[in-house]
Amino acid sequence: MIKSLTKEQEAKLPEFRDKWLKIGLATGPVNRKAAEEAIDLIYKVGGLEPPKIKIWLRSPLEGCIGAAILNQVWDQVRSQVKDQVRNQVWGQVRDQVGNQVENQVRNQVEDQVRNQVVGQVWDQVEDQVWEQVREQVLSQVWDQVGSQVGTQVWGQVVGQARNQVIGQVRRQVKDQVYKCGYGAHDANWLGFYDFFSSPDLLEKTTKPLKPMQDLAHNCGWWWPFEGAVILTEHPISITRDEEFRLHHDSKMALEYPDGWGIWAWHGIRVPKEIITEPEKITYDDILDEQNVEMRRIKLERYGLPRYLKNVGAREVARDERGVLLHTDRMNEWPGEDRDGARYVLVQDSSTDRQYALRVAPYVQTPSEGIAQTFGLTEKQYQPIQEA
Amino acid sequence: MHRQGDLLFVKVSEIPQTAEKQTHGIIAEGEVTGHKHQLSPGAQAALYLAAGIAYIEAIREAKILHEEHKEVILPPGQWEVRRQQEYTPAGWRQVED
Repeated sequence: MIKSLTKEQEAKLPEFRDKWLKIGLATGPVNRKAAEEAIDLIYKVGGLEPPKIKIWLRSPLEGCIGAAILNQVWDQVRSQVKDQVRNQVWGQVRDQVGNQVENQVRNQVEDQVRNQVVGQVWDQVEDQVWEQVREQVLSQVWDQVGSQVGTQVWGQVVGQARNQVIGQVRRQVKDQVYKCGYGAHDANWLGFYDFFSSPDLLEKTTKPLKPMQDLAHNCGWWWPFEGAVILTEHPISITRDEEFRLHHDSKMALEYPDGWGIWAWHGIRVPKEIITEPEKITYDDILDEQNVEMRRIKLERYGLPRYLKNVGAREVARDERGVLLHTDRMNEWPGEDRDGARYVLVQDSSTDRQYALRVAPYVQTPSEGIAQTFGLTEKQYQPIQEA
Repeated sequence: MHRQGDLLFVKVSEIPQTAEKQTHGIIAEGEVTGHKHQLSPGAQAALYLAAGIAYIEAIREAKILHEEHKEVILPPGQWEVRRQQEYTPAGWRQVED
C-alpha cells in the first residue's frame, strides 16, 4: 500500500501533467508504424489476434463514418452525412481495404463482435489496472495525483478538445462516438497511470497500459474490430485562448488534415460565420437567439455598446449584481409584452463574461432580476458562494 | 445557498421519497458547450432525481466541478438543485448554456 508520496515523487507531478498535456494536444503527422505496433500489442494484451487490416483515416469524423461502414449501419448513416464527405471516406476505405477484403470485413464484423472486442480490451486492461492501483494506493495519494495530473489534463484535453470534438461529431454521426478509444484524447487517465508506472511505485500493475500510452503518442481516435482497426490522425492545428479554451477569431480552432474541425469562440463551438463574418450579425439575430451562450457570443462579436445603442436600451438601475436595461423596441412584435423588455447584464464571477438575461418587465433592480431567474425574491437570494 | 453558473444549490430538509438515486454524478450538461456540472469523482455524495429536479445528498463536504466555473463546496446535508430560468412573455424558460 502506498500511503504517501515522497517529496521527490511529488515534485514529479507537474512533469507528468505537462507530458500528458503535450501528448493530449499534439498536432501534426503521426508515426503510423509506431501506432500500428502499439495496436498489435493492445490486442495481444486483450488476448486477441492483432488486426491484419489497419485503416488510417484523417479525422474523428472520418473515423466515425468508417466505423459505421464497417458496422453495416451504412443505410442509417447515409441520410445524416453529406454526400461529399461520405464519398470521400468511402473511397478512402475502399482504396485501403480493397473490395474483397472489405466484403470479408463486412461479413465478419457485427455489432456483437465489435462490442465484445472493445469490452474485452477494456476489461483486461483498464478495469483491472484501475482496481489494482486503487487497492494499492491510499486515497489521499490517489486524490493528489488525480488533482494534479488527472484533473488538470482532463480539463484541457478532455474538457476542451475531446468533448468539443464529440459534440461536433455527434451532430453529424451519432452512433460511433462512444464506441472508440480516444488515443491522444485519453491523456487524462493514461497520464494518471503513467505517473504510477515508475519502478518505485506500481510498475508491474500498470504495465498492461503501456501499449495504450504508446498509442496515444501517435494516434487520435481509434475503433477496434475483430481483424481490423480504424486509426485516425492528430489534428494539424489547435489554438486556444489564455485560459486554454479552444478559440480562434478567424480560423478553425481545431483542424484535422481532412479539413474537418471546430470553429470555437472561447471554448464554445459556433457556426463558421460567427467567426469569419461577424460583421454580418444583426441585432435581430441577437434578440432572436434562444440560446444564452450563443446570444452572448453573438453579442460579443457584434459589440455590446453597438447592440445597446441599436436597440435603444436605457439603463434603469445598477447594483453590485449587474445592470438592468429596458427596451421598448419589441413592443410591436406578436406575443410581446406591451411594457417592453428588460434585460439584466451580468458578469459571470468565474469566467468574467458578460451575459444578458431577460427578466420580467416589472423588475426594478438587477438583484431582483437575478433572484427571479432562480424563482426567488431578492431577499431570499443570498448565495454564500458564487462560482 | 451556493451558486455555480446557472445552478443554485439550496439546502432542503429532505429529499422527496420518490427521488431515484442516480448511478452517475452529472448534475447538468450544457447543450451547446457540453460542459458539465458534476460531483467530484471522490465525493461522498449521491445524486437523486425526482420530477426532473436534481437533489444531492452530501455525507461529507461535496465538491461540484465544472470545466469553466470554479468549484463549489457543499457542506454536508440535502440540497435541491435549481436551474436558472429566463423570462419570456410566453412563460419561463430554462436557461441553456
